[in-house]
Amino acid sequence: MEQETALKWGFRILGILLSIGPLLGAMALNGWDIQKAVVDQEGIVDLTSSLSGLTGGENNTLGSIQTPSSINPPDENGKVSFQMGLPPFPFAATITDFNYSAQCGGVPLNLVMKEENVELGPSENATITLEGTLSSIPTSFELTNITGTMTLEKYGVTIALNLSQSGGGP
Amino acid sequence: MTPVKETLKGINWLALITGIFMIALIFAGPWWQVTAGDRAMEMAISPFEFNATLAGQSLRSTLTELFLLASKISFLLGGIFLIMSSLSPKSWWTKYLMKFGVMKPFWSVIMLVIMVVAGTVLMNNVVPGFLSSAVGQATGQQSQAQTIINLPYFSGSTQATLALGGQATISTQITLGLTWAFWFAVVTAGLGIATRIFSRRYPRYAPSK
Repeated sequence: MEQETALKWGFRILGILLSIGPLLGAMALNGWDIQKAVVDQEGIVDLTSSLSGLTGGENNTLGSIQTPSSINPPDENGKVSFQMGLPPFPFAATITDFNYSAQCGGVPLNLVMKEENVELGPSENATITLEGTLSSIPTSFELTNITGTMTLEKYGVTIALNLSQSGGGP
Repeated sequence: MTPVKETLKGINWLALITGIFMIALIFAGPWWQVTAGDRAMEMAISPFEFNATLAGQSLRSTLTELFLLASKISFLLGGIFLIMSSLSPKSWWTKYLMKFGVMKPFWSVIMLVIMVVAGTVLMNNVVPGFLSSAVGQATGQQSQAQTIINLPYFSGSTQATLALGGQATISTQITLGLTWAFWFAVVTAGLGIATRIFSRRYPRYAPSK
């Protein structure tokens, strides 16, 4: 009978140790700081620095992409091609698509990115080539009613930025 | 009957198999995993492991690691105790040793199911509002930020979308699923319940007066 009681108590104590032990152990290993025990602070610092560009901040230039307000005259086939510089991005990403629609002197113009993908390094300037064809000769080369989308990819997350009319030129 | 046959007949085979399965379960890997995008977020969980990475950065927690270690020790001891009690079903200590571990797989499966369901409800109903509000505040477009997440329960994939007014849309594929290790745990839990029920058939130790 005494053996059974001892065994019963042994299992009870073992159960308590396995439940409370990890909590006390984690607290003791982290200087009795519950926050440090729950989440490794070094990991959070690394994570914050790797995500700093995505969460917005002083260097975030995603919202300041300048679309051209005019284009150079097209070639004899009505083909328009120009290079567009992009501001430095706060994080490394891949531009997977850039499409751009506008009215060029009353003629609709659709421009698409010539490159399949453009890799962007963090804080690096990038240039993309936009191509399109005008169906007729426009009266002017001023672009109006500009709409477009730039699609970026980072860690399998797709970021589609809608572009609207703004200043600047090719 | 030969002594070998008599010994084999005395073994509680159900408890023996459950004990072996309990020990094997520790090494079976994660029970449920979820991935978002391509390494944007990965999480794999079981009562013995918790691996979470966000943007390629591994998230660690001393508290979680020690709880998982305790869980491993608990299952290991439970398995050993079950094996011991299966080999000697008539000993006075058998019922205590068996009681220690036999229901652990069942409760672990129940806990994981509750955790996954609660997590999915939270992700579908609470996180979108929280995320929209946080992003809206950060960008000054509080009323225009909208997050849509419709995670399936347990297994499947979905597209999560965060629309920031007319300015930007952020989307990613989220895939989640139960692994074979979870079904192995379900089998072990079933064996544990069966062991508890059928072990009553074995003759008990009767202390001498």
